Amino acid sequence: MTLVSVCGGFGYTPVVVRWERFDPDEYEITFNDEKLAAHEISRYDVMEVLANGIYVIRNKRAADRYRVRGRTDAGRPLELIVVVEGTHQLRFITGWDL
Amino acid sequence: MRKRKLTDDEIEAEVLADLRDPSAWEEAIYVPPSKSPRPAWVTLGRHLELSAQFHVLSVLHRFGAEATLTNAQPGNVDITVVQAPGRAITIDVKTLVGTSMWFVQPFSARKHHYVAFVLYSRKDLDSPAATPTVAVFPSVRLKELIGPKVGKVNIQALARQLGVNDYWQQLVAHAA
Repeated sequence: MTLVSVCGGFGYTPVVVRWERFDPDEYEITFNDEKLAAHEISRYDVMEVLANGIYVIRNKRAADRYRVRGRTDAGRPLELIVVVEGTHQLRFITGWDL
Repeated sequence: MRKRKLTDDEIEAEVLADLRDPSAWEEAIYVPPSKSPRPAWVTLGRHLELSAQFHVLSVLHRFGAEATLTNAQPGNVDITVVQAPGRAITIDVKTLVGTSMWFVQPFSARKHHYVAFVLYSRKDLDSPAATPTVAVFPSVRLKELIGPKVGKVNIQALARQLGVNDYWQQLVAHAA
């Protein structure tokens, strides 16, 4: 479930994720594999973190950007950077170990 | 005026600049664990990683090597092969599915440490008789072959450059 608000006059349409109802299954998720791999993070790690319960922190300057904190199945604590690219579209661009 | 879409590099740079500024971030929201089943590709990927590690382990044992699967050992070590007390070689197993292209990621390069790439053909995934292709590199040599490249490298092309006919022999010969 997402809320779309339009800032009139600027043509800027931030899409806000309703994280409290977030279900990864409802989203088209893409990855910057290269940037993630640079921190030894795989797509599987990202998906495990999302499934295991997360803390989400929104950037005030760019409302479509979030830090996502959680753990993989193996207990590895990760912080991931995600951008909301559209309704039900997320892109994980990078991340690192916490 | 429509805002230009930033590249991932630009977004990353802005996020990194904001990381040390708590005022740039809202309060954390807790999202409980998902109740939906995980996508098939996620569970399959994890299984294939284990399958790849066990494949390498299995072949090493066929050659009589004292090989052991490690559990979350640091330093990119998935398998150790003990040669004598205090002397071992270590192997980092990487899994590729349906491709021989590998996103270069940090790996340990040191003496007696190898990187084994296990390549699964997507069309053979359901066939228990099909064995994956394996390419094993001495980690130091792999680092030399990759050089300063970033992004994707073709493992099979690198293997040709390595010029080893029998990947297993270099491990077993070293371990023996």
